[in-house]
Amino acid sequence: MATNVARLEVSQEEKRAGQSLTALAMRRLKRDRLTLIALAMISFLLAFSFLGAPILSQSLGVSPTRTQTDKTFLLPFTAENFPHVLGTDDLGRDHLSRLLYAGQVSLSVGALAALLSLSIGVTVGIITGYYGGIVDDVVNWIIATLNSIPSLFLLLIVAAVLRPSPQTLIIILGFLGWTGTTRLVRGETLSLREREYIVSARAVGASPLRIMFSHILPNLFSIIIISLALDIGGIILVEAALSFLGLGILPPTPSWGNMLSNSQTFFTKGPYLVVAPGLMIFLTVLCMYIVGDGLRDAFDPTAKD
Amino acid sequence: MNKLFRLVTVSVAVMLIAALVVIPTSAQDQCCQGGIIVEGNLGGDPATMNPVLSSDTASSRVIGLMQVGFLGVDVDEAVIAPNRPGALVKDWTVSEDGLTYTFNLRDDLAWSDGTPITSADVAYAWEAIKLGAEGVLDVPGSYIIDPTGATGVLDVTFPDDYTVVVQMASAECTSLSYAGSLVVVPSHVLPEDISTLMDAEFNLNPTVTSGVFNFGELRPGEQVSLVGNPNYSDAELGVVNPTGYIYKSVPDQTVMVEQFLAGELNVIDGPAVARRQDIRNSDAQVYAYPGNAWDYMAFNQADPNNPQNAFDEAGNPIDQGHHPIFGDVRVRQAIAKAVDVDALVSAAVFNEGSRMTSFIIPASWAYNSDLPPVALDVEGAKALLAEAGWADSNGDGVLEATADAMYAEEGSELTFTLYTNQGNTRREAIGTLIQDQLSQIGFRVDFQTIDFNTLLDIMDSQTFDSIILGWRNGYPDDPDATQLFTPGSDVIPGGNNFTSYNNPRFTELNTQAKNVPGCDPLERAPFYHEMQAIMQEDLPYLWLFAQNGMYAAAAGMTGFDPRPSQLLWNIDTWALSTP
Amino acid sequence: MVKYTLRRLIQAVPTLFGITILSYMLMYFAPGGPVAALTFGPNVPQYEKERQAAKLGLNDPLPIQYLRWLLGDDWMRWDSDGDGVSDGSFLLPLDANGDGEPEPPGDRYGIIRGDFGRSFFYRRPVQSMIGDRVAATLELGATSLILGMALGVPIGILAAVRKSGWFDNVTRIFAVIFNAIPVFWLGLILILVFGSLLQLLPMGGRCDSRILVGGCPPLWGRIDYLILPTFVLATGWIAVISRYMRASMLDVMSQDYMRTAHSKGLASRVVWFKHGARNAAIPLATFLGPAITGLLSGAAITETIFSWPGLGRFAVEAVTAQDYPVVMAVVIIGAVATILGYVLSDILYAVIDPRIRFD
Repeated sequence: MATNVARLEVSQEEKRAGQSLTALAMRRLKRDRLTLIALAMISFLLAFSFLGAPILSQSLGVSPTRTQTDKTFLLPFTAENFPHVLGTDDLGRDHLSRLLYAGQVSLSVGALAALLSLSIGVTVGIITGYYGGIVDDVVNWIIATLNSIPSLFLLLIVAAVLRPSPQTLIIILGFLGWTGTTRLVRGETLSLREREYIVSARAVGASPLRIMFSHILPNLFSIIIISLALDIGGIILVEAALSFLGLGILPPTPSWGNMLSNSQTFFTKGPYLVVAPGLMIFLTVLCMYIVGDGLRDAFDPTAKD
Repeated sequence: MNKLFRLVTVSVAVMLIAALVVIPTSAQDQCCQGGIIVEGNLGGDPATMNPVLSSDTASSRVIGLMQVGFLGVDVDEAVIAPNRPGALVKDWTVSEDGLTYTFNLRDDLAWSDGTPITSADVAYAWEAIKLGAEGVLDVPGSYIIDPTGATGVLDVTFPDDYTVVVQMASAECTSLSYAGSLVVVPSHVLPEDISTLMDAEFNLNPTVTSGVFNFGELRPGEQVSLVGNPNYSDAELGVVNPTGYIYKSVPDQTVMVEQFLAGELNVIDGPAVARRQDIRNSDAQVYAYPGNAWDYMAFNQADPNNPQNAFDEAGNPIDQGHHPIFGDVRVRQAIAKAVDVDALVSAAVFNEGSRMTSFIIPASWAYNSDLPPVALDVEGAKALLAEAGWADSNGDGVLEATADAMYAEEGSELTFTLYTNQGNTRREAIGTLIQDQLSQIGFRVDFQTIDFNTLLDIMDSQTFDSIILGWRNGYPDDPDATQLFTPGSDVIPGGNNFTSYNNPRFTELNTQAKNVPGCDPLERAPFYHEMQAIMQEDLPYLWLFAQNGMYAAAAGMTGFDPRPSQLLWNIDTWALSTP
Repeated sequence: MVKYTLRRLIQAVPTLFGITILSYMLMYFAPGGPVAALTFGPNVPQYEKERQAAKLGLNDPLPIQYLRWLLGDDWMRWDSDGDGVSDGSFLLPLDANGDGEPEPPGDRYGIIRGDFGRSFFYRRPVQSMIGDRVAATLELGATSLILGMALGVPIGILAAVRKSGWFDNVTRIFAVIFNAIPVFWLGLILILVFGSLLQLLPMGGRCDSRILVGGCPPLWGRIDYLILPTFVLATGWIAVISRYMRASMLDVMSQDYMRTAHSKGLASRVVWFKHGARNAAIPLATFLGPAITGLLSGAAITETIFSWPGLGRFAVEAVTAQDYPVVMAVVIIGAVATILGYVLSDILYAVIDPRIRFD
């Protein structure tokens, strides 16, 4: 009975703390117009890529794989090239629908890799922060090792070893990108560990697993959401860089990165082929960074209103 | 102070006068007034500048400009020929049995340090080649020694300073090209212990040369520079025109074109196909030719789940099974009719390509110009597939095998995997187009780009369905098909007949063609004409196209007069009108 | 301080060990290998491929191969009487292939003694090729780090001083924008605009190519070649450093001694730059470690676009050519540089900030 009461009290305390900060952050966000615009833009890009693609194929009958060698490099935004709104590429494929399918790939890779690296980072961070000692030493050693190799070099070798497909790329980027989150989470856990409600939860005999994941984890919400936004943007950029070096997602699977690097040679024949994917990458990453920045400001407990 | 000043003034004056007197009387000052030729290099740095160790393109490029070769080439006929400038061999005789070649060397050539070039300089290379065959050195030329002694070169002897005798393993017409792997090296400056050749200082600082240029310097990752050789004796105009030659690294074809148009480069080889029109529209001089590298789509005709050699060790044929789809020649023919190769040429290389009608490149003397390429005939393709027992029984657009299909299990889909190597945008485009075009006649093609080495592993182990890849023929090229299409080369892993093609008639013609006494191309050509017709029916490969080569030089470059695959053969005559 | 430095260096040893294991494993499991690529051609006979495979073939067990790479093999099989025939061995059998003849003595020294093996492509010792590349990368890295500092620090200070003013907002937006542009894309655009269209700056390379002998002139004679790559490599740094500097400056400005200085009637400019900026810049010392990894990563792409003959491009080319000894050498050198950078920035930090003591 005593245990239950204690648990109730603990969860209410932490809920209050969490709620008030989240509520405060929400209030601040509502006033941060730039972040709101960026959020709206991201939602639009998501909807555009995932819903727009099938709608486009259905309504206009264009497909990202149908080649037309007599209709290559059609110009965008011209009446006579309808239904190819954004024109066609070097093989006569509809540029808009390719862009949308590439968006699905790039956004999924970015989001899934970020989620993977975040899950690893948060789990490892909580565990090391909570237990400390030898676990902490080993993890620190691994982090120091990974951080000492210039990240792109590491990516280059790993991408050369594993054949790059969307799946392997998610795994590579997820497994190489977790160290930053781990450090943040570890630090936060270290300080949370000494909080009263955690100490009392431990005193009443709550299992470490329970403490870590139902008491500490909810308090990491802000770190997680900020990392997620920044990581997705970063990963989309890294994928583009790897594509430029020939080690990103391989054609014929389209991604914004490989569309951008493959169209470079056509710069004079079809500048729009280079501009469009570049713009998509730029917009997505920009919005993700703005959102990440905005969230950080909103969740900043030291900031004054 | 005053004294010193006077001394300096006087000596400067004396030097000036001396210079004025010396310059006009020196014959050598005629040399090298033509300006610096700067060519773009898309590959890496030359790995070595030692002729006997060189295997990469960049190395071969600069070595060819610095050193004389062993055999010369007639650039108009693209055949090995006697009495060529820049070649050590004057002429040769062949023994009655066709096995012994006696090469007579020129006695008027010397190294840049004055030492005459003799057979000892070839003997050194031959010793290195032998060490290469023993695995002591990495010598690309060591392929001419066949451990079984069935092909290649058996021995080379050097009876006197100006004679080289090469003993061939067989009298085949390819023998002469084996001798072409012999090179001339300055043996007097190379290590006496040949096994240390890999680390010889000469490899990166070839101070002793014999060609149009002397070595300037190698700036790793940037460029190699060569300086005009005032003592080059074979110069067509009596003196070497260019001041120097620079082989400059450029990151990719797009930047190469930009640098050429901006004048940072004044010669380029193989600009991006998408930019060739821009170059034609500029005032540059342009030379285009059917290239010697050609793409194909290879069909595995044997069972990919149970790959076997064509013969066992005793030489008896092994049952290799049949590929469920490509084992039937009608399916291959249907693909050849359904794929619009002209459209591939137009979209993948902007019409900068020449169609292959069969396995011999259009630039070859053996090319059968009377043989038209397979015509596009989508209806005919569908009919052939139907005849071969493929029909769309469930209405999903993809055909299934009926009971009539020769090797496929009844009900199995007409679907296969098509691989190509990653990083090659031309082949990516070809694959994408073929995938789409074949889907129109009921194929489902799983097209994938994979890492080059992984692709070679799959190819060597013969476990693939179909592969898009290309071959680059040698120069001068021999049309011999022994390695590519005869069952003796159907060996796992690594045999080049990896599609398991076997047509006894073709093999017999190939043997006859390479054993024509005297090896006169005119007498050999008819055999190859018939072989090309057979190949167009049998289709172990779908014949695609050879991307055209293109050379371009700045408008002010005089002497620019390339031949197919020969850009710099007369570089000693080149000059920039505004150096 | 010597003791502190030594301790930090010793702490780096396990990290370095981890790096060697990680990179060796990666290389070991890489696909293909050089044989197939080296012998790819329509007329290369089967026996030549086998010959190459035997020559490059790695038939020893994995741990032995790792040890050979790390520590060399001159202590695994040796020739003590100098007759050219091995007469002693450790870990390895004297006659590995069982032909009755002992194998030749080991001639590798291992990366620990600076022997990175032979490049598959260039067929010569990797260490002989790496020096020039390091110099080129240092040149570009140093200029861009200096540019990053020279622009980032004042921008950060101004942004903090005029917090929420137009300058702060503009720099904030620019910082995000430059972080969101793919680097290679920015590089190509700059080449097209300044090199091709306006023909103001060279499109790549380290110095004028029309120099036949004598190498590149000193740095000041080829500034034009440095401008574009330095700018591209520095954009990220300008953004990061200015944001960091802004935060640090804001932090400092809220300190008591700044208020005191103001209240004593000192001119704002003096207070900000003399007292504030100096203290705010201290944390920048911690940037050195991450800066080195960042610069090397950025160099891989920037050097490739601008044909800059540095370590990054060397690594990219080696990865494409699957020239693993070179890749490994670059990774190890990059890692050592990074570790040294971290150690150095810890020491610097301790030196600059009196609150931290060596213990």
